Amino acid sequence: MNNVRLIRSGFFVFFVAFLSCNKYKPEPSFYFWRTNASLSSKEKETLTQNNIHVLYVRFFDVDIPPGAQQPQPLGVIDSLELIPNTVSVIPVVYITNHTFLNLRSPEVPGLAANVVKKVTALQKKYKELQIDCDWSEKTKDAYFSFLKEVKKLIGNAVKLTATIRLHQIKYPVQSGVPPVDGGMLMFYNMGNIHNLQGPNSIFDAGIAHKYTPYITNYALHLDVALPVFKWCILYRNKKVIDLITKNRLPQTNDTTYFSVEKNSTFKVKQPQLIKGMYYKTNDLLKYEVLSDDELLKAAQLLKENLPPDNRRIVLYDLDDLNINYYETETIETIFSTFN
Amino acid sequence: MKQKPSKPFFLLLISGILLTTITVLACGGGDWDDDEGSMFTPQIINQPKYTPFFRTLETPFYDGYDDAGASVFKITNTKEWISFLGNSTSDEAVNYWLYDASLKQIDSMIFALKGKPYNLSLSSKKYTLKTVTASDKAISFLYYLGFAKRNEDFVNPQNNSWDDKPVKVSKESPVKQITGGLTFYAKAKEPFLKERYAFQLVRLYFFNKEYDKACSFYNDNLSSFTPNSSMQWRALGYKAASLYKQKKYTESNYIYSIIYDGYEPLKKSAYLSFRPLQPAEWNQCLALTKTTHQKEVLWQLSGLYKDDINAMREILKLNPGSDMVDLLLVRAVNSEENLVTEETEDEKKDQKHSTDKNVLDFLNEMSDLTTSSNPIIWHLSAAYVNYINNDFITGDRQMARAEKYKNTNVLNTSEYHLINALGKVRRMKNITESAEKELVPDLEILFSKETSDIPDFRSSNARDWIRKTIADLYNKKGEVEKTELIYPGTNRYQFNDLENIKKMITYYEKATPSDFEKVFFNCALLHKTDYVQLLAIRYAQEDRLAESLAAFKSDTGQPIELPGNLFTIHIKDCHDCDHEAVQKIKYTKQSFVEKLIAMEKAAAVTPAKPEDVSQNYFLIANGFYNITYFGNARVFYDNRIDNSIYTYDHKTLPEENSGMALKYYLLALQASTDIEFRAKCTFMAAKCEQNDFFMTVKKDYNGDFKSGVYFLSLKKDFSGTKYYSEIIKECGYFRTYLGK
Repeated sequence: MNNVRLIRSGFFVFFVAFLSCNKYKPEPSFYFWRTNASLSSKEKETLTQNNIHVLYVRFFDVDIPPGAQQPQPLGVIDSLELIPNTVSVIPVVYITNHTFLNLRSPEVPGLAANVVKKVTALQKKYKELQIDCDWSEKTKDAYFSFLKEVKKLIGNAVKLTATIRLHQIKYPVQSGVPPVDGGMLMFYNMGNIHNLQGPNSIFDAGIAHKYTPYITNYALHLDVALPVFKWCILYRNKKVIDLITKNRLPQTNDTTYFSVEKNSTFKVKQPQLIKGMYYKTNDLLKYEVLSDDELLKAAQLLKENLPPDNRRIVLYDLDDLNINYYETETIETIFSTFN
Repeated sequence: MKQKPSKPFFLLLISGILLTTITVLACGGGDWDDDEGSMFTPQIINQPKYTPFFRTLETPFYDGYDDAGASVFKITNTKEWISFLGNSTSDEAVNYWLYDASLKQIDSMIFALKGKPYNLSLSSKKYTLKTVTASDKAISFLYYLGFAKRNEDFVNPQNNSWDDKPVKVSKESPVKQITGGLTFYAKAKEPFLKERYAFQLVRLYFFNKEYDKACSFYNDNLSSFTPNSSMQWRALGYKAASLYKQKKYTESNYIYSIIYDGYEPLKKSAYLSFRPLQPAEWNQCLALTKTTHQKEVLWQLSGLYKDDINAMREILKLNPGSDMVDLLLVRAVNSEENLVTEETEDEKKDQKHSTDKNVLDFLNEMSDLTTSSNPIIWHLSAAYVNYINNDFITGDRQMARAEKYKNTNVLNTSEYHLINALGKVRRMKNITESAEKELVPDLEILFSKETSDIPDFRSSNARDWIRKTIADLYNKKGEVEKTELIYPGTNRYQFNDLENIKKMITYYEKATPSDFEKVFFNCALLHKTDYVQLLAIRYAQEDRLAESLAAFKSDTGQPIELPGNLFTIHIKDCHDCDHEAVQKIKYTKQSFVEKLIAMEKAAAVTPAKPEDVSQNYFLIANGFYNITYFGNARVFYDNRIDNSIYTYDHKTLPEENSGMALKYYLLALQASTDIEFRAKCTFMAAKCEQNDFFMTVKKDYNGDFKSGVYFLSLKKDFSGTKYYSEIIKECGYFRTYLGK
């Protein structure tokens, strides 16, 4: 029994869980973040191999697009019926902070009603609804009242969860704790992408240690998300110009345009437009992805800092471009780390 | 009739591209503000039309996503139609027919005007066009509307709607619409209508992917457009978009630059559609220009996408006094200042920075020149970047140049004093009285309410940075009061020492503060009452109740009610249950201390019944227990100075220590002869022991509680009591201890 962890586990649940000594079982899962829900055979195989029964699926984004006065659903998922019926789908709705910056408080219930109506139109029944928003101190009130409205609409039978970023964990007083049934801790994007020489911005154990003490104290039950994605950070004159992901990723091993600076940094040899991106001579590209070992280390560190409890371990995100990078065993080991 | 951005708007792919951008740029410190950390106000260029293009990381535009174009088109459209209809109808009526009326109602109105049978809705009757003097114009208007509305679904599909019905697909084939449109266009006699049909046709060709035809129709029918009319600009936008679709970027860029420069409602859209080009193509693009000004515009647009310094140099080569460089300048500075806003403690110490040499050289050259149209922005920019780079000699020289322009407007004055203060503080290795004096004139302005109220002025980050940096210097000198006044919390644990709290109270009572101190007293983040309350809390935690009460009495803050009964205790603590339970007496911090005093007095009365004494001690112990981190009234120690209510700090703060509760549980134990009660006291003592155990073990300790004396005593002396069996039932720790 790991009681030290329990003792630090927070304000409200601390004493309730104080003397418990159950054996906890984590539940593996993935995020699915594309707009078309057709899964490749490899992706389906990954679900089966890892015994995955729930999938967090982005249903749509919400934003106030140019020219519009009101928030709108954007990039609504297509062909949801193609998700294998072996998994139950948890709808995820991403809402920009910009939406809440521009929403007047009388408009909040309307937005909540629209979101719930849209989610339900796409999928009649769901046991959990997740809202993903990188809220800030300025939008905290609007966002939290939105969450309360959503909860009223979905009722107690449906769990409402919200994504929690590390800075929100570290500054719970300023950020507030969202009024939801549970949180999804995004255990990544912790570094400074502006620092070309710096450690991997997706995950770095040194930086992670600065946040981990706050995880144990957080006032919500947390599921956790770990990164299996990769990206390239594009620097020009030492400044970050863009982040390049998935299909926009250039072939950095193409020696006509790129030379290797050091391990994962590449230099542009001649200006070129590749997949819609403009690369200028001497631009630097930092290719970031977690190695199998680093990914396991991240999982281990997280495990050490979480009070034992039933929780979901979710990888972001299910995509051939991501999972092909890892050994099948690595993915399995990540999930089993939390046993 | 809203114009869509002519290029697929990249923000619509928010999850694919922008989400990750936002997520990452927001990491670590959080995305509190778009101008997070910035101390340089781009508005000093005093060109409001460029506000959307100030540097921003989160959205394509500094003023948000909102593209005012659509609403401008709507207003212009309405105005133009009213004029066409002979000013004989209202805004509301025209708006109704333009944007709300159905095709059926449009047909009915035509019938009504032609004297045929019709079926008008209430709204259509309300906004009837029968009042229009020239009914033929009203009929032309309605025919045009019928045509244009049939185009809408095709050119402006509403994919993004909350409606759960499938997206409505227009039955009208675009080819049929184009054929019909050409007939209408040919027949239209009124130039006003002809222009509108021409616009519809360019747009239809574009959305039907007939890009060549869109361009040639625009070119061949240019005479149908009134120069500079909204229709002409919008049609030109579709011509540019058609060229873009055909990958004719040199031409599309040139047209977009003309729109960007000439037509405000499409400025943002034109910028987004601009495409940076490689040198050969870029030169071809420049070759299309007809004036120097057009070249400057192209360079400005290019500089917004890439190599701003080179773009500025090219613009200044064309026109040394050009104000088109100003926007690029402030963007470059806002980008460069990341070096100071994201400075680590080590970097601050080392004072080593590598600002972009290209930028620095250029700014220094420009500050040396006298040809600029707005010299102060160059001097301030150059000095700021030099200060960031820790080159104080060059920076000071540039500030001296800036001084003579500093009072030209309120933003210039404020930015001047901000950068001046920053330069002075940044070079300080320690702080002296003379350094304080030297800072006063700048700080008085920077920290004044008037300055913080100036719209757009980015003063708060500078104030924070200055506060923190100076406070660190005072902290190094061990000056408790100034450190705390300037940046509260710099030395977090200094208030575990009560003397330091008292020092702060005395400091706030100081009769004659220096001018430097006055600056910070006038905008103090904490006040005397906060320290008085902390002192009262700390006294209470040390069982110095009389002193605590006196301090609470002099605390002018609002009394705070404590949740839950502070004198209750359970085998297994449950804060939520205590907070929910009905409370007969509610305590504030002060009345709780008063009650403790009364109980201590009662326990000390002689002669007294032993059971009264022990009962009083037990309740006092519960009170002390409940005001620790483990108790039900953490609110008791919540304060504005050392707020640890939500966090756990591994026995560095008094509230993490259960020693005072333990002391009184033991006194209660000693005074009692009732074995059941004694068992209870011993168990509570064990709880205090356990709390202290977990507070003092190493943070990475993973094992169980190692019991000291009290579990042993329970087992040895109280195993026969009823309470003992209750403990076994409820307390897993104790069961583990007993090996059960």
